[in-house]
Amino acid sequence: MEKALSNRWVLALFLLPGLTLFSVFFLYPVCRTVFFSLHEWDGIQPMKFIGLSNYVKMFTDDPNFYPAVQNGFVFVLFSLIFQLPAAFILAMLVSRKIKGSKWFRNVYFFPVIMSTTMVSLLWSKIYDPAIGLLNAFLRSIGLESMTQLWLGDTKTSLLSVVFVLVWQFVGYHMLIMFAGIQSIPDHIYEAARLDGATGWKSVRHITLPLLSDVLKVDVVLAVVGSLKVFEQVYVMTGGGPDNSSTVIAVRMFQEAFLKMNFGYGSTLAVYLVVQCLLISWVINKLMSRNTVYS
Amino acid sequence: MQKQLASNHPVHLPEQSSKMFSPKSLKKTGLYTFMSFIGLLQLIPLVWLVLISFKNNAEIQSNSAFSLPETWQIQNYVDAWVQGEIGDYFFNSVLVTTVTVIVVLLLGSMMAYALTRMRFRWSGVLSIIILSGVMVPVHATLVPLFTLLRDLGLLKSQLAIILPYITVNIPIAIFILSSFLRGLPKELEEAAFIDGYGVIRAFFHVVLPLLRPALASVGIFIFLNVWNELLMAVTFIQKSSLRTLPLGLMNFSGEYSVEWGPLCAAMFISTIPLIIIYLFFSEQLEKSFTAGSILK
Repeated sequence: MEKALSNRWVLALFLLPGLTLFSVFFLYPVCRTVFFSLHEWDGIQPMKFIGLSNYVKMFTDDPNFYPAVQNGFVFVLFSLIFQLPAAFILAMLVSRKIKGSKWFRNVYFFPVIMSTTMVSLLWSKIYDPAIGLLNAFLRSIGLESMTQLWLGDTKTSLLSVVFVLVWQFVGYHMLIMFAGIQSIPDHIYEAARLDGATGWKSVRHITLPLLSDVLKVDVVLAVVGSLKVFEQVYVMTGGGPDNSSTVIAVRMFQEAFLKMNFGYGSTLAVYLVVQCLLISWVINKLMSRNTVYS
Repeated sequence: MQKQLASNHPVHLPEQSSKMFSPKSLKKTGLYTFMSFIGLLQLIPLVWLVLISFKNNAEIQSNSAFSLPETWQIQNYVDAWVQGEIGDYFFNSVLVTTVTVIVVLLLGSMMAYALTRMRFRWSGVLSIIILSGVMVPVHATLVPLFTLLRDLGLLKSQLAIILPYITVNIPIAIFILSSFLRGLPKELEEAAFIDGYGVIRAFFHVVLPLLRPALASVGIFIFLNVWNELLMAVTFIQKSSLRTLPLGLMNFSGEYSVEWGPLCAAMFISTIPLIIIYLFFSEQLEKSFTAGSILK
């Protein structure tokens, strides 16, 4: 058996096809992105090495860079302040052993499996100022004054897009937390109840601490997901109006594939990756220091 | 993981009015009301979409949002399928998704097996390198992949999108399958080896059947990933006849920005397979999403 399991030929047969694909279509491109980011290139003419100029341009000379970064953090912020707490409340509710809780769980989760493109198109119809559902609803309850252009107004475009992300994926985070809550054994709650910990107290002193590992994973997921956001913005507003809702991923796509600035587009891609990795590392550090041992 | 007791039945609000006013059932009623409200918030957009998909433009603009269509415009679906070419996009999506899922499951399970069961010097390093495929966003590959696929002359074929899809999904598959494999007892394989099976035969005849539940979860997860993917599709699909559904929908919405009926019909058509999957596999789906979350 030892011998069979260290057979070189079998090993090669099992590993090489996948590994080849992974190297050619993932590892190699990732390295090339860093390489491209040091060049000026339209994809056709010979590449021109320009050192860190693209990075200098990004930090000092691109009027859309900081707004895009800032908008990314607005996604993060709303995800952390609204989406995760809402997901936790929903997870607590569907964990109760009441009739229909599985049915509710399924309903809350359903938007997660729909395509983001479809959901974004659907919401751009809902936000439609003339015949969209949202303004129609506001008019029908007499709040005519609150009707907006939504996606068409620089003041509301970003938050309208953010809401769609929160709406679609709240069920995802609910499911992750739900799975975590399910894995907390009942007898811990029972023991706590004997000690007088019920209701909010048991949430505060049992559920949350025992969930801290799951929460850490989930916070990273939510933050990285928000920083990478592309589809919602691309489909609903294309970053506009007037770049009010743009994000790094959309800027990267526009630079690289609409303006054919492969060099600068790659620079933005490098920034996005570094930002995602750095922030998930920081969250891991911060949250593991606060882990409560029970 | 799931110790869920609740049944599949829809909500039953307390029926006896005498009990309605006791504090406990009042609380329960409040709870159900709140949960139903959130449920409605999650479902209403889809209901609205389905209603609109059967209406004509005049009716969308004049009648109230949730009125039933006066005449059910089946024509919207015909328009979407034929003029809107949703039929072609649908077929493309089915093809791309099926090929991706099959190849990823095959290559991913072989690699997971090699990494967890076989002995070789660099297995630890290799696992870490593959983990990078989960950690690094695909955005980092787009520009070079585009030039690579162009230089290989693949941009005019389905491979332009299938190869990247396979590649980005292999690491996810490897990690879910590896953790499942680690939990599998080795005795059955050992028995197979004693019976004179080679590794390849043992893998295909003993291990793969045991992996079936994990393969189902991974398969569904990847199916959804690919079926719904837009960023790579919009970058690598250069020919209109090769468009997958999300890309096709985007394009259709540009052309039919005034006429909502056919567009909404197209959107609903693209969602039907997901609804079917959800109805039949909700259990596996939940498992695959919670398993997938650990690494994403």
